[in-house]
Amino acid sequence: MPTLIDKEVQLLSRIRNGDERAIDEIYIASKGRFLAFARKLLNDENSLEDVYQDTVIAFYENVRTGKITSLNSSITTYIIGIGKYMLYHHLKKTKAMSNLDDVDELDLGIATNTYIEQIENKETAIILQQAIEKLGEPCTSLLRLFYYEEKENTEIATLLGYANADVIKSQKYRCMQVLKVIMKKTYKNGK
Amino acid sequence: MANKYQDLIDDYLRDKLDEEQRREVERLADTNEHFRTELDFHKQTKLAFANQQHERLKKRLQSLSDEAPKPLNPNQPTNRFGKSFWFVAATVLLISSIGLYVWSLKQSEASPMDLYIVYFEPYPNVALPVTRDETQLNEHSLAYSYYEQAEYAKAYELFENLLQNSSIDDPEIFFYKGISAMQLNLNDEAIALFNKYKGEATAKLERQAKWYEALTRLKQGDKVQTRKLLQYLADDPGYKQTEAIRLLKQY
Repeated sequence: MPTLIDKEVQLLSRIRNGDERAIDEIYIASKGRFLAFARKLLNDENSLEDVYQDTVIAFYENVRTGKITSLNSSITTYIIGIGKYMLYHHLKKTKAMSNLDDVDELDLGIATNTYIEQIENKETAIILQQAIEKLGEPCTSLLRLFYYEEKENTEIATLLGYANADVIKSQKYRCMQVLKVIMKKTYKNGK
Repeated sequence: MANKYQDLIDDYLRDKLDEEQRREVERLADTNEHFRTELDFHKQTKLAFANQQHERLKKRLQSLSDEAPKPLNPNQPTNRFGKSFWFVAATVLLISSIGLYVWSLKQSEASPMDLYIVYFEPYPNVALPVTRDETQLNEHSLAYSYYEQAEYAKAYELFENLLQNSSIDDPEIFFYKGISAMQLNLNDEAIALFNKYKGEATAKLERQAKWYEALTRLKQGDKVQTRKLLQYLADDPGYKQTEAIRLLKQY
């Protein structure tokens, strides 16, 4: 019978392999302990839910992109560690900051702050997001595999059924040109 | 912009450059406006994809919040889920809109089809992408992609192919194929699919399947079965309880 640690290592491995059901399991399993901790700092259930969702996604993204490669403690402890930063940021933003001293426990600050900046800097990317939605296939899949999943060109070629990495390179260039044209049109229409 | 900088920019964004090459990128960004614009465009594209995926994952977790939790370990206690601000805001808005619409319908008795139009909206895609297996990626992600784009005929066809492929472990295909079938007016087929889905041991969207089956039966005018399914949803807290109670009063 697998131990708790085996199960958690398996969850990390599933995240790295792109199995998004792993995020569901983590979300469900860590929620009780996270909320028990977080309610001491913030008395607003709606915001807590929001912060918890961002926290679990930040953990997922840190594992997926290789910023967290192994576990020194349980996944829930990591989630609470990241959640402290998220709560700290939320309280600071709403000017309700209390004294949170021991946030450096797991040294998760840099990765989490980068993630917070990324998800909060939405205005600048919003037109591009609209343009991406209009892009169509195969460009959407190709660019998503390249920019979000950070796959190598040879892997993208195999996944999308192209002959080789060079074809991906030229196809990606064309897709970026199309994206620029759509973006310009979207921007013009939005003005 | 010539293609010549593409590799350099891509490697820069993927942190693959050595110190000297990084300095070259920074120098070009400082001195060459065209290069700087191109670099910013690539950075923004990367960010836009990250934001898009963040929003998608957030919707996925919000949809989980709406369900009673199933513990990973049966001995482990679980907490009831709360609801996020946006989810509550959207629900309040939806309920208010439904209330207003239903009030206006009540002026002249609402037909089952009127009620169907008021209550039906396609369930968001929270299942994509699950697998990265080479042979599965195209068809699997494409099926969900068509579903998201409201191309239900294409999505239905691809979901059908996926169900024939025994190597794909994604029980939610039954559910999403069912909603696609509803949109194509294949109502009996949709009901059969929702029932198959509810029989899957790992089905996560069981209440959702009941809700959509209820709406399909509503569309067919099958009052007895519609009310039976709605009563099930109305009896326990969770997905669409409020709507089920309201719809029971109207039908």
